[in-house]
Amino acid sequence: MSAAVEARDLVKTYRKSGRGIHGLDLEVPEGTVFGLLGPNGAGKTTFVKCLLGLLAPNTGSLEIFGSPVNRAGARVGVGFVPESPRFGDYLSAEEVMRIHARLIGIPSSEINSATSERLEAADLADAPKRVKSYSKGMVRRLALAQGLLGDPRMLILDEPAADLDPIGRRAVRNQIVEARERGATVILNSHLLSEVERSCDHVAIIHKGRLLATGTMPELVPEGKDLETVFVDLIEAQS
Amino acid sequence: MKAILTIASAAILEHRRRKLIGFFVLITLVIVAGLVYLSLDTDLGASLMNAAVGMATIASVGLLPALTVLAAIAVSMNNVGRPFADGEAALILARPVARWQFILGRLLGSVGVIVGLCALMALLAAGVGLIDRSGVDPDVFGHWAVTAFNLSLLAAIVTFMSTLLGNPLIAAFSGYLLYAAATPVSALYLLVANGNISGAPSAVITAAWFITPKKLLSPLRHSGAEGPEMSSIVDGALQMDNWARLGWGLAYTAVVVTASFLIAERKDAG
Repeated sequence: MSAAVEARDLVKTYRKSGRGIHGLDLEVPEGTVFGLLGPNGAGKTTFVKCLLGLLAPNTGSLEIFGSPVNRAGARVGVGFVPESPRFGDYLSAEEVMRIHARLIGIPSSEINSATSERLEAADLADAPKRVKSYSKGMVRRLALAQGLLGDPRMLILDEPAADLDPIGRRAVRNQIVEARERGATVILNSHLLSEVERSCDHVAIIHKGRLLATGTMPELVPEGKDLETVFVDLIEAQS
Repeated sequence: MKAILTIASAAILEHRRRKLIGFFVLITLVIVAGLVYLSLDTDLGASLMNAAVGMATIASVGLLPALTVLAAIAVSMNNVGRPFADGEAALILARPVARWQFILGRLLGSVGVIVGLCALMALLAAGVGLIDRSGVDPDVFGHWAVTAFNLSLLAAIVTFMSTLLGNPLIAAFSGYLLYAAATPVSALYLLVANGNISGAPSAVITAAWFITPKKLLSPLRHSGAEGPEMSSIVDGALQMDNWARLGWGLAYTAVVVTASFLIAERKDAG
C-alpha cells in the first residue's frame, strides 16, 4: 500500500509557546480512513495546516502523493473541511460552491450539476442568499459540501462533527463511508474518540508534537479494550 | 491565471454587496444631484456656479475624489488581513492556489471596484456637463483615469499592509502614509536624479508639509503663505519630469509589492 501522506522528521515550532511538532515521522496509507488523535495542543491541527501549506514547516519533509506540500499543485485532488469554516459573508452557498469548483478546475459545463448535487446532499439547495445569515450547522454542512466537490482523492476533516447534532454527525459519517468506498484517503482529526473508533481503520496518536503510536485499529486496540482506554493509558504513561 | 480571476471576481461580488459601496454611490448621487439643482434651479446657485467653471470640473476635482480615496481604503483595508485571521483564506489556500495568487486576486478585486467607481464618477461629471450645457470637459475622463491609477496604487499598498499587519485600521493608516510618502520621496528623487537645484526647496517644502501636523500649519494657511506661491514651487518641481515621476511611482510600488509578497509567502495562515 503506497503512502498518501509521508512526513519525515517534521518540525514546526511556534516561537511564542514553543508548542508545535517536534520531529514527526508519519505515513498515511492510501485509501484508508486515518484518525489523528491527541490531547489539546498535541500538534494535530498544526500537522493538518502544514499538510495544506497553510503553515511552513521549520525543517523536515512532508509530501502528499509524492509532491512536496509547499507546491500548490500538491493540493490538486485534496478536499479540506476546517474546524471553524468561514466563507465570504456576502456570498451565497451556491456562489461559494461555484468559486471552489472553478478553483479545483471542474469544467464550466459541469459546474452547475456538480455544485447543485452537493448542495442538495447537504440540504442547502434552498438556503438563504447570504452565508452570514446561516446557522453554525449550515456553515458546517456547506464546508463539508465544498470539501467533497469534485470527489477528492484525499479528504481532510478537522473536527468535522463539532457543533453538529446527531443527524449532522451521521451525515458526516455517511460521507466518510462514501469517500472510502470510492477509494479516497480520509484524514480525520477529531477529539471524539467514539467517532474515530467508528469510522477509522488506521489511527495515529500524537502527543507534544511527537508520534506515540500508529497502526490499524486492531493493532492498536486489543480485544476487550476500547480506543479511549488505550489513548488515556498512552498519554498518562508519557506524563 | 484562472485562480486569480476567480478570486478577483468573488472579491468584486462581495464588495458590490457591501453597504459601504452602496452608501458611497448614494452619497455621490446626492452631491451631484444637489450641485445640478443649485446650478439650474436657483438664481443663487446660478450665480455661485459660474458656467465658466463648469459643473463637471466641480464634480471631478472637488469632494468626490476625496470620497473615492476613502472608498479605495475601505475596499482594500480588509482585503487580506481579515481572511487570513478568520480562516476564510485557509479554505481557498487549501485548494491548488498559491498565496501570491490569493493576494493578487484580492487586490485585483479591489482595483476592479475602484476602476468601476472612477468610471461612474467620470460619467457623472460628463453627464453634469451636458445637463448644465457647459459641455463635457475634455479632460474629465483623463482626470479620472489618472485618479483610478493613483487609487489602485493606494489599494495595492493598503492591501499589502493588511497582509503584513492583521489590523485593518492600522493597515489603512500606515498604507495611506506610505502612499502619501511617495510624493515627497518622488520630489527628493527628482532632486537627486536631475541634480537640479530648483528642485531642492520644493522637495524640502513638500516633505515638511507631509510630516508637519496640520495644526501647526494653520497660521500659515490663514496668512496665505500656503497659497499659490508654495503650490507653484511644488507643482513646478513635480511637473519637471513626469516620466521620472512615473518611473519612481512604479519602482516604489514594485518595491512595496515585492517585499509584501515575499513576507506573505513566509507568513503562516489559517
